[in-house]
Amino acid sequence: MKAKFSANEQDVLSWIDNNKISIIKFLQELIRVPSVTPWFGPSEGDSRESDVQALIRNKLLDINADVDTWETNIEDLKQYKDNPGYYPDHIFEGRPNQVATIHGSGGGRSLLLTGHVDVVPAGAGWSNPPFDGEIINNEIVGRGAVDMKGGIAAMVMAVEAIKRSGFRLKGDILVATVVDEEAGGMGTLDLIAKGYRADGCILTEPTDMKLAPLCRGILWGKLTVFGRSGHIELPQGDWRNGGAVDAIALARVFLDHFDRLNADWRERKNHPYLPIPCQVHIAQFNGGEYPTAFANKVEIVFDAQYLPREKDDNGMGSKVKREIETFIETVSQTEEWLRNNPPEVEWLIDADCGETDVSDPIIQMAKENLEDHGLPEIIEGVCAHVDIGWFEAKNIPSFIIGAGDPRVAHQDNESIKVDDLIKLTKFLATFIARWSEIEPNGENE
Amino acid sequence: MKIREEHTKKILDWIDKNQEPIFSFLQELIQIPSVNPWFDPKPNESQEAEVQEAIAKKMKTLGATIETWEPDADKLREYKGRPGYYPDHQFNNRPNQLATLKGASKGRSILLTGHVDVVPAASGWTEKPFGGERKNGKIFGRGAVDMKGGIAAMVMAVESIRRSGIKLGGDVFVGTVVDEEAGGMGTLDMVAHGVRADACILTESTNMKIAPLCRGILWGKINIPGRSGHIELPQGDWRKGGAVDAIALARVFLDHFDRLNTDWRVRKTHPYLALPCQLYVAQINGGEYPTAFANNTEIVFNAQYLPEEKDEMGLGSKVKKEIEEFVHSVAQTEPWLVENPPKIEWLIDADCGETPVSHPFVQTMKESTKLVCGEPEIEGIGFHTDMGWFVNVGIPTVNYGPGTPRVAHQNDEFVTEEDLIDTTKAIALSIANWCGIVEEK
Repeated sequence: MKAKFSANEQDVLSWIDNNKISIIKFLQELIRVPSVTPWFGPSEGDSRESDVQALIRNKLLDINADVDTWETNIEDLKQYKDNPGYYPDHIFEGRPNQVATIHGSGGGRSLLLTGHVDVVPAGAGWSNPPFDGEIINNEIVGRGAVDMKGGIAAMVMAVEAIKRSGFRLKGDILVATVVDEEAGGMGTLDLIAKGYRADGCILTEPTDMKLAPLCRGILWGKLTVFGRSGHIELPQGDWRNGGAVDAIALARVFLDHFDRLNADWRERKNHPYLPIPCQVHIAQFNGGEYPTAFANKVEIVFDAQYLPREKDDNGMGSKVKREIETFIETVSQTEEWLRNNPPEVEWLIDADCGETDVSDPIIQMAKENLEDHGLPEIIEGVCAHVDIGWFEAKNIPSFIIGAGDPRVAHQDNESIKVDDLIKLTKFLATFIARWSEIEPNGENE
Repeated sequence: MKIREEHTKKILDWIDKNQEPIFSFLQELIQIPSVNPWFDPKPNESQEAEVQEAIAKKMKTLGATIETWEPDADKLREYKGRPGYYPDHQFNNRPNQLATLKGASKGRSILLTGHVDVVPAASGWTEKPFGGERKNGKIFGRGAVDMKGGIAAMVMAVESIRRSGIKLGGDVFVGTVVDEEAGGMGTLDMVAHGVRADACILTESTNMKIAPLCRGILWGKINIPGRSGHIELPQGDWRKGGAVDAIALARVFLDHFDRLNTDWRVRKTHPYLALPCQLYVAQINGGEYPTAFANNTEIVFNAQYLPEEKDEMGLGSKVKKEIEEFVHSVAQTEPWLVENPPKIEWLIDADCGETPVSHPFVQTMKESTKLVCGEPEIEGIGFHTDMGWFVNVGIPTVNYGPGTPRVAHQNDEFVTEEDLIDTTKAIALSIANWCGIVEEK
């Protein structure tokens, strides 16, 4: 019976087994540098993306990578104004992107390993400090543990494992770490605009070690429903004669109609490699000014998802935006006040998506690699947005794989199991070894 | 004790000839913003003391003696558990005030009362909220009807009697208080201070109707706990760590409140009230950011109660309990809520009161008002006024004031000049008819 792993691969896997502590420590270091996307309005001390990049840079410089660190210049990206990830009002001062290149000896396929260094805010309700990276019951706890400092730690340590085990690769390995993913993906747009390309790409967002050849596009919208305030304890009479209109009551009408839209989407917006349908989910609801008045207006922030097949010509979600806008207009037509005072939709984010066909060699190789590691060969797309769209748009076959339960992402007490982190590091190490062809240092010289 | 026709004519004539000073006094009051500090206004929009000064200045010119003092929550401690007692309310530079105009000690006394604080302007005004501008027979501004209009009318009613050269039999007290819009501690303090009279007119806006009762008001906040989780991902069973959408749960309560309101609509009515008590949702805030299910949702509601529903302390604890039990029973329908029960915080319990329509003072007001604008309607006030404490200490009290209460707390609040003048007349005649006139020898 053929051994699952070559002798070279076995050496690399042993190095990982012998250096688990360093892998854990590196992830802890990454978590301890809070790097909340500025879009969420964090305090300055909680928003240190550049310090995360510095940790990665120092690590990879040690294994002789060439590191390119630069800040996005919005002016250079103007040509992409109708494309994914372009947000002209995002500011990148002190928020660099970075590519570390480990040059191959030649003749092999290149591989881009990529991920984002920003995280969402901690939110309320943590039982342990969100930026301490404590180990509790063999899990590393902290904001970003799975989304996605765990994935970044694993890719960096997989490359280090190969180098420290005394090997090199035929193809180039690019470790590309970007900012601003949690607010739309301008970091990845910039990476592509700067011309970075490879023969294949792995994005290590958390998938619970499922092999994900696609992700979904994400729209954030804000629906403002207008009413007219009035003393809540008094007869109001007809609004046509100056009576109040309760914006909360009107907003409930939209919520009820969204239930109906979601029932329709549940049947229509499915994908064979996705576990759930696309929905319009309400994330925030804010209305009313004080307890004695009917609400003057209500703001509803929603999150709607779209499939790669729903992308428009620019690779974005304008078709789905139009569908939602039309739906809201139709609902408004049922009510005279709303016809005269139409609600407004503001689009906050359109985060794109992408898909690589499962028959592509990179998917097949990933599947075999999973099997060799004794991991379930489950193919399942990522339900959230990840920055895969641009790579696929540039014909770089790509997939997403990462450790940890994606459900704990963006949640209180986010954590990753130490075992899962090591599994991912091993998977990546052998995949790199196969895709870009591992060889002992000095061979063919 | 009805006054003679010549006196009635004198008073009405004076008011007809002095409409401009009446309008400008109201404008002056509106132009001093006096937002209740409970709403966190900017300091320069919270000048209750300056409104009191303007009233004091006016009353002094009519020969009144003025007493001005700051309520002190500590000194009101004995009223713990009673209406209007809020131990955390602060009254630095927020005085109550009593202006006393002695009569000839030969008639019944009357207290004219109102509050000088207003609610915030909020967004959406087309007029300046503190401009007091006059346009097309209307005076605009926050407080125009709630209730600087009423205060202007009662002060000017007293002036009209004085300037007509009429000497009253009984004493007239003009008591102006702070803090009504956040529960009524100003009036508690006025009563605790010992202010008493044989009758009381509270000049909240009643649309020229005679209102011998008001409703009690409860403000409550329900916090509905959920559990956040990535909104774009499969969440699975909450028992295994899945998310619980606090906005979806809040909608369950809103639907159940619709049902409660249907019940209240037939149960909580009063022959002198235009509408039933309801539990209205005024504010909803839920959710933290667009990618997560809401961790919790807060619902602020406003529920009204009838004088007949008051508890032995004069407050709304019975209705609070009714709402708490309802919320609890809804929570019992959902396993997550059984384990993570919603919490209710009570923000305000503003009391109410009722004077029987058959009381002589209500009849005096009816007859006086009839002389100005025909047979008046009798209809209770849907909101809280500070009448509860006056009724509690045995003072027959009626709410009567200018303007449409519907525009209170609303954008572009206004009172018509006509209403203001008619109310001033009706109040003046009510005072004269109640207190009596000392005929000059």
